[in-house]
Amino acid sequence: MSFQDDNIQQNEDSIREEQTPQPAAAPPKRKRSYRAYDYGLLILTVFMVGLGLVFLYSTSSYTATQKFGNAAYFLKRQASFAIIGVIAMVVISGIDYRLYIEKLRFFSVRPIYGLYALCLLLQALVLVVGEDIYGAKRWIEIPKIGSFQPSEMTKICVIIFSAFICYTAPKKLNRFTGFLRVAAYMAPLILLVAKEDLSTGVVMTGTFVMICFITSRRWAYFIVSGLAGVGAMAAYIFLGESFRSSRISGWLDIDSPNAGFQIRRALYAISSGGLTGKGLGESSMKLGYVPESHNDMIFSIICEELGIVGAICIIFLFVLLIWRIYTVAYNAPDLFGSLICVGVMAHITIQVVMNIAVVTNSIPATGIALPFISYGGTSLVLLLCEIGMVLSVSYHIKNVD
Amino acid sequence: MQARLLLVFCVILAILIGLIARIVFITNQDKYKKGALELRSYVTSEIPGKRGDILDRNGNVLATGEIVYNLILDPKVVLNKNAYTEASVTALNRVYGFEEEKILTILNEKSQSNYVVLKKQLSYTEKCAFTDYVESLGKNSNNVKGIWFEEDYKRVYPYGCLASHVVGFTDSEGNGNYGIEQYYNDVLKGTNGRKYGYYDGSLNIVDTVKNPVDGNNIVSTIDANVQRTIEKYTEQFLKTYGAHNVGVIVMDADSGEIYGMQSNYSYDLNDPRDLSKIYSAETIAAMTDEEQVKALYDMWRNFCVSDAYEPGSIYKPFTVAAALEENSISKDSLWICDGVEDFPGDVHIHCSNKKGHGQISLAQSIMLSCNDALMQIAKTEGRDVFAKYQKKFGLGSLTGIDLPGETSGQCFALKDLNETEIATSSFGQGFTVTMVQMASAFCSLVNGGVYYEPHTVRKIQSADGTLIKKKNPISVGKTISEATGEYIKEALYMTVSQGTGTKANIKGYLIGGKTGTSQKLPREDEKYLVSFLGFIQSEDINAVIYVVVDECQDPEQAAKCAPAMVLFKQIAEEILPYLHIYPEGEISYKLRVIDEDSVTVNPLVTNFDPNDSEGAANVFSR
Repeated sequence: MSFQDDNIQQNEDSIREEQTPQPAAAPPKRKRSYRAYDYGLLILTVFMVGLGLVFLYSTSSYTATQKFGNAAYFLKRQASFAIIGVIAMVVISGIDYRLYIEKLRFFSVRPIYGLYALCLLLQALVLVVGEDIYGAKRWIEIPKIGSFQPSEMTKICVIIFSAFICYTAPKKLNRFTGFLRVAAYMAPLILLVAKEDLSTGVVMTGTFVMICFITSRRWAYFIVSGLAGVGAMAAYIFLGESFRSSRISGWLDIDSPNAGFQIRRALYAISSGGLTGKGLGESSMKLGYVPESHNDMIFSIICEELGIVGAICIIFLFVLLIWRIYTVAYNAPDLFGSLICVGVMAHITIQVVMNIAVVTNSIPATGIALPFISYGGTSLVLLLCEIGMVLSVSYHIKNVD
Repeated sequence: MQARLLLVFCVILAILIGLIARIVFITNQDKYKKGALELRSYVTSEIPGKRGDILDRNGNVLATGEIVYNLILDPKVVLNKNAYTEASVTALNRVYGFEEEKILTILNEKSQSNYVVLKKQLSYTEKCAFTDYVESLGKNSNNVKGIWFEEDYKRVYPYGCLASHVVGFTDSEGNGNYGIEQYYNDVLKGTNGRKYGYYDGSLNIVDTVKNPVDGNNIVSTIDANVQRTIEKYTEQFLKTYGAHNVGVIVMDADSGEIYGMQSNYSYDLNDPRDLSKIYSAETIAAMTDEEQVKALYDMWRNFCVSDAYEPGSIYKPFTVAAALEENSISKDSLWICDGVEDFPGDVHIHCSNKKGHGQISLAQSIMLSCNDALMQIAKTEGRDVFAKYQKKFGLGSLTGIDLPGETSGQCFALKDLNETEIATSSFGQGFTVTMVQMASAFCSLVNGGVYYEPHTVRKIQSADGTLIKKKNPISVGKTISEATGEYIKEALYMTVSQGTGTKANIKGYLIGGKTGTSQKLPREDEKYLVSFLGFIQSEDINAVIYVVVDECQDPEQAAKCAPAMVLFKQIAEEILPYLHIYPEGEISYKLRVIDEDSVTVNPLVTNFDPNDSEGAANVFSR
């Protein structure tokens, strides 16, 4: 019986197949294309910036009161940069991203070369006239506005420039020499940054390597050089300058009194948050106990106030953001657009991972801001510019209906 | 390219999930939570948990906690204003005699601290002296700031020296040393609470109190009256004769409960480092630090559980019991004692009576403490039986008594138990035991064969008196049958009424017991450890009293059991009423198990002169 049933079923299937009209045979419809501006990414970004301001106010109000007698001091500054940044993002999203690498009509120079030169200049300048904060020269003082961190701009340059080189000759990346060529272009920028700020150098290196990796069709040399890189990093960390090795020992034995108290206090903050946290604004470790509580350490205070649940939500928001950028990269109209998105994605991801890893003592202590949330005007504005570029790429995706 | 992109995205997801796991892990770390609490505190103070009391079996307090006060200085507050500093330093100088300069140094050195302990364990009156002084300042009293008192407990032993080796003492950290204090430290110890004051989000000060938990009380099996009597006579003995060691144990054979335990001089538990009771001031002054430490350790050492020695003739009843139990011999057996027994390698072991006892019955071998007969009995038993019963009686292994520092002594291993070894072991030479082992094994001889684990604690109660754990007698095993026990008991009664133990006899009581003299190693030094192990039974209690005198310093008494018997008698006479055993006038004991005739086989017994041959002087000779 069942055997028969099967036969009938098969027959019916084959009849249905025959009846299905062949799409190729159908007369072609008129192609209607529209541009896929990613509003989801735009809204998500603005939401994250807003959320960042809330956390910033919560974490910085005590310090602001102590230092400036004005609880909203940091909030006001950050909010004005946020507004500038959002405007910049929208403007940049309207500019065709391909313009950066096309020759200008009047000077017949590609703008990306200009940016590269400017970054080199500023990075060199900061070493000379830079403000010395926490034993490192990273800021250039601009009267009346505040200080500017050129390395943030260099990050954008690294993204666009390496995407440009890979785009012009993607096949070269199939050889290790091709990768070295990109690295040679990046080296001056990254070395200038890494001299004063190793962790930002790591972020940049990660970003351009990621772009090369996506372009390439080979595995071997990435794995080999990746391992070599890790080995070199380990050697640098363990055999490097004296202050670095003390950092390492502090990382390995966080409970020893010699270990950095910042990270230990970040751990105190995280653990006192529990599952659901103490409630927004209720952190007690921000009251002068966790230094830089509105800056690199902001995530520990978020954990204290919102608990594990809140931390997971924030991480989820970042995943959502990364996923949106990933989708744009995936569907980008050309390799250059795709690689820009990859660069932005890599930049945000590496900073998020490093920041959370530092406050949870998963890696040795280093100063990396949490994108969109940590205090820092330059960082916020330029991150928003990067999102603007991704939006611009998304704007040029032509969906075929 | 797109595949790689997807791979990268997945790797990112995995890393972020890993970080979430890390956050969850950190959140579950209590040490960080505690660190946060401590960090935020403007002041944290300990609230002490009371250490549990130790009571004797009748509820007398042997150890307790008394509230005392620690004087705390808060430099941050004191240094706040010049007026505060001045007034507070003067106050400390006036009331407690601190040098002003010293206080100022402390203030400068610890200027960022809120908590410096200036003086510990002030009494209530000493504390009041300060408050009274501050009040007397009138208007200026507000300037005395940053000085406060913290409650603490001080361990107090109301009876001072009583039962020092059983009770033990506590160190400055509140941990027990020696005795019950050490063995039951975890039970007695309270958990300190803590008070945290910290700033909340709105900068208000909030107090969080973690309440202290008081430790549990322990009701000991010790009877303060019995113990006091033991100590009185031990001390008296040590002062009159002097000895290397004197140990006394009083216990109940029907439960294994220790009623009293004494090891040499007792020491003052309230001042355990005071040697003046044993040594003169000049001797102490002449001691080096190391010598003093050694002297302290010796003083604290509990001879009854921590020292092993050869038991001597008191082991004879055990040898006989084993032989009877295994039917190696019969109650009617007779032996010929010729005063010496020869062994391979030209070894001659003498009887206590070197001339020999002649024909001797089983009961008489115990009554007269005849080595020769015992050597023959042990030979009949053989090494397997002998070793089996040593094990059954718990020799060579720990008794499990609830006191620290117990040692197990050493018996011959079965393969080493050759002819000579069995012979010497039969009368208690060649292997070592502790007092607790002997007393516990003896309990099983006289209680019908049940070996109870000896113990010093009856029950554990919570601080509010609720029973937490009752320590019932723990029967570890059966050693001998009741019939054998009955025979041994009668033989021991006869030993005290007619044999070598007559000096221990107390009028109006039926007492059983066995004397012991063991020749210490090296044998040629002719130093002796003498002992008496006796028992008195009533309906309430089956009291076993064991007295050991190690190297009596009186040369006349050196090899004689008399000192041990005298000490036994003194102690027993006084403690028996406490144990509800009262004299019954004339005792007329009728032999039930032992054949009347067998006692009269050897005329030595009926005409026995205890002063004549109670010693076992130098039985080892070549």
